[in-house]
Formats: sequence, C-alpha cells, structure tokens
Amino acid sequence: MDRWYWCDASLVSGEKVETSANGIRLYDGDKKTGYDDGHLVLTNQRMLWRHESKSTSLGLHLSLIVLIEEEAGGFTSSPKLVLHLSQPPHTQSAGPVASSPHSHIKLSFKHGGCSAFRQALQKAIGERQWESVNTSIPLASKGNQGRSAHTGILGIERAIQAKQKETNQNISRAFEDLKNLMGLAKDMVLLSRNISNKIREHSGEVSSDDTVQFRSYLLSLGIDDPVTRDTYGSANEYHHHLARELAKALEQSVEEAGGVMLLSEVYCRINRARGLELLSPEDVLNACQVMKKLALPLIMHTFESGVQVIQTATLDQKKVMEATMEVLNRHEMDGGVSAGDLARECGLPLLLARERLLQAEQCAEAVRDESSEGLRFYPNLFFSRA
Amino acid sequence: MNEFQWPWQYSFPPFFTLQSNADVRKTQLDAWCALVISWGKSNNISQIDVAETSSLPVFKNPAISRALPANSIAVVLDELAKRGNLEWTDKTKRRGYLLWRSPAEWGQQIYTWAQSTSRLNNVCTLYEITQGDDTADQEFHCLDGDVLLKALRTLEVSGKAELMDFGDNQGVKFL
Repeated sequence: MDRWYWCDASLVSGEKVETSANGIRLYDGDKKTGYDDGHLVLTNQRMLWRHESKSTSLGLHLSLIVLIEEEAGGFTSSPKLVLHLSQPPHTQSAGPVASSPHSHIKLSFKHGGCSAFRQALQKAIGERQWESVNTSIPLASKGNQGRSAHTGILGIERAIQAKQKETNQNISRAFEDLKNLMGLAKDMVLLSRNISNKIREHSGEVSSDDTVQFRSYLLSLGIDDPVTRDTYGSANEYHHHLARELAKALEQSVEEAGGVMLLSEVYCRINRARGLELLSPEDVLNACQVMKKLALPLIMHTFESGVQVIQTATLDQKKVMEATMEVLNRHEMDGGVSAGDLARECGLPLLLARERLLQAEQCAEAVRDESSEGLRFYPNLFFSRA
Repeated sequence: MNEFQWPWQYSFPPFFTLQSNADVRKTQLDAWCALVISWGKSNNISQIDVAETSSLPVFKNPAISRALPANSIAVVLDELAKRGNLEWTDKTKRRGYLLWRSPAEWGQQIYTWAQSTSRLNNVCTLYEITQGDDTADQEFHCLDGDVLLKALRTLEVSGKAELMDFGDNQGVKFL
C-alpha cells in the first residue's frame, strides 16, 4: 500500500488513458482498506484511483508492478486483481501509508470488468511506454511510423527485423513470467511439504481419507509431493510401464553387447530411441530398479563398487568368468591383464572390464599386481600351483 | 653354501602385492613366511632390523622390478611373529630375531653335538660352539650370539646344561 502516492488527476505529457473502471476498493496485502468505491483510471504510465467526492487521486506507477494475478469472485466476494509490487523509489512523493509489510496490493472490482482491466493493464505494462515518454515526443514516433511505411526490399527487411525484435521481446517476457511462476511453485512445494509433515505428525487425528484427499489435491496441482514420492517411489505405475518399454527396446542390444550394458549407455540409448520424449536419468534408474520385480528379460545389477548395469536375466555368470579367465590365462606369462587389456580383448566398456576383474579376484580366480605400471591381474597361481 | 633357490612366487609379480581376497592372502603370507625363513636360513640371517628390510634382497626382485611395500613387509613380519618364527627384541618392534628354528630345537641340536663329541661334563666357550673348527659342519656354526644364548637357556631349564660367566667370556657346561 505504501507504493501509492498522492497526486492530482491531471495527466502528464505523453500520458494517455487506456481504460477505467468504477467501484474499486483497494486492499493492502490481503487487508481491506477504507479506500472504497473509487474510480480507477489506467494510463500508459500509471494507475490513478480517486473517490468520487475527493479531489486528490492516488497514483501507482506501472513500473512497480511485477506480476498480476486474477482472483475469481464468489457469492460474497468480488473478483480481484492481485498486483505484486517491487520496492518504491526513494524519490517517490508521500502517500497515504508510509510503510507497509506487504509487497502486494489487491483491487476489488465490485461492478465487474476485472478481466478486461487486467488485459489492458498487462498490455500497458508490456509496452513500457513510461520508459520512452521522457525522451521521445509523439511527433517523433509519428516520423518512425512514416519511415517504416516505406516499401521495397528495405521496407520488407525492416518489417521482418521489427517483427523479430518483437518476438524476442515476447519470448523474454514469457520467460520472465515463467521465472515468477517457478518462484511461486517453490513456495507451493514448501507449503505442501509443511502440510504433509503436519499430517504425518498428527496422523492419529487426521483420518487416512483426509490424507488421500490432500494428496490428490496436490497431485491435481501438478506438484509432486516428496513424501508421496518416497511412498510410491519406484513402485509407481509410470515406472512399471517404463521398465517394460526399456526391456522391450533394449533386450536385443543388451544381448548383442554380451548380456551386460552400463546404465549410462542404457540411458543414452533409450533417449535416442525415444527421440523427443526424453527421460530423466532418475526415471530410467527407477524403472530399472523395478525390472526384477516385473520378471522382465532384463534386470539391473549393482556391483560392489556401485557401478550399475542392466543385464539379461539369463546371463550365465560362470560363462562370463570363464571368458575373463581365458584372457587372464593367455597373458599369465607376459605381464598380466589390466582392465584396459580386457576391455580391448572382449570388446567391453572399461568400467565393466574392471568389474569383471575385481569379481574374478573376489572369487579367488585372479590375483592383483599393483605397481608403478598400474593395476594388473594374473590368474591365481597361489592356488593352482601350490 | 649353495646358491639360494628362489621359489616360483619370487618371480610372480602379484606376489609383491598383498592380496585383498582373504583366502588368497593367507596362502600368499604362507609363501612369504616360508620364503623369509628359508632365505634367512640359507644366508644365516638371524636378526632383522625393520628399518633395513626394504633393502633386503628377499623383499625385492629387481628382475621383474617388483618390491614388497614397507607396510606389506610389516604384515609379513607380524605374521612371522605370530607363527613364532620371529621374536621382537623390544616392544617398539624395530628389531627381531629371525628364528628359522626355535631356540629349543637349536638347544637340542647343540646338545646332540655335545653328546656325539663327548663334551658332556665339559665346559665349552660360546665362541667355541659357533666359531670353533669342530662345529664347522654343524648348522649352528656362525649362529647369532643372542639366539645361541636363548637356545642354551632352554637346555639349562631342562637341566641339560649350565651357563657360566667368566667375566669377559661366557661358557657352558653340558650335563
């Protein structure tokens, strides 16, 4: 409310009236004020509010308006506009309220016209005419129009350029709105989290019906409540479907790759296959985690080191080990096998080759040799020769 | 003395890396203990100074450019100590006796020698036992003085010998 300032109703140079509305009450934040039943004028620079009986007006500069929201009316309440405002400049003249804790005001439209006014307001803010009003006079803009009316290639090019500029502006403005929306969404998520925590704390007092209902509200808002995510987590229907799709799409490729594929490669391949409807790494991971439960031909396996792979459910570990040992035995006499060597000989990703060697070591089939030449592996002669 | 025959493990590079698999590691340590003992025996090494272990030929094989790292050497020495083949001279574990035979075994050997050369009831100096011409063909020839004393003490405890002190020289009387 402290953004309003006293002024008279006369317009300054370059200012022109866009629209007006009657029966407007001002709110400071969500609080009603005594400024009721006034006449609201929108110019290309300001909003002016004046009570019928008074001679002075209240002014609000459009440059202070950050975001406009519309609040639908009900049986007992009129439709309202919520205006989120930025800090007023220090040079601003005195207003009815010296300082206010709220950074938004509301305009209540008793006699309707809320939406129309909002559109006009949005347009006025979008055009930002107050920026040019001090530098350019109406005559000059007329001259501009005259020039752009030139025909010929130059004229067309100019028109295209102007159009591009406008599009750019529109886009950046759209993103500005998006930013605001994101800011608000963050608050929303916080709020929902608070509420759901409360529900959990008082779970004795709130029936499970209430909880379910609340969750459905949140979901209908499109906000994924973290708590519900934990609850359903990997078990949710979406991931089941995704798991089936992954298995179907990748089964053959995994088999061709020797029965094992790194999760990172799975992620790349599935997204490549999908083209546009890209998946997040988290969704892929979640989907892979439920594969085992769904008895799909592919399952996820996590090595002790944390490396995660997708492998065919029928993969014979013994055969894999035999293949690894075959390579190890071949190089028993010429300096052992490093992960890189195995990767080259078996056509495996390096990470996977390393896992195979470590696995062989774990089964006491291979022994390690750590030296300045790096980590190499030999067949376990300690057992076989002793 | 014959040239020491290195076991096959000595030229197997993984031998010089302490294995992480518990079973393999146990087998590896067995091999290490056996190697250190047989090497000590062959080179008549009876004392090991931990600070110098890394320069001992047994712990490194330049032919395959491998050496057992210091902390792994410590593991091997600890294992030897656990098996009774190494006895630390003090609690800081800086030096230890490498006992490729236990003192009691040495004592028995010396006593058998004394019996066979009819030295019972006679007094021998310790120098005589380890350095004398009569023992040149014995295993305890050149035995470390401290280890010899330990061996003789075990004889003393079982009543087969009596240690004597001649001031600057020590002797033993076999009973």
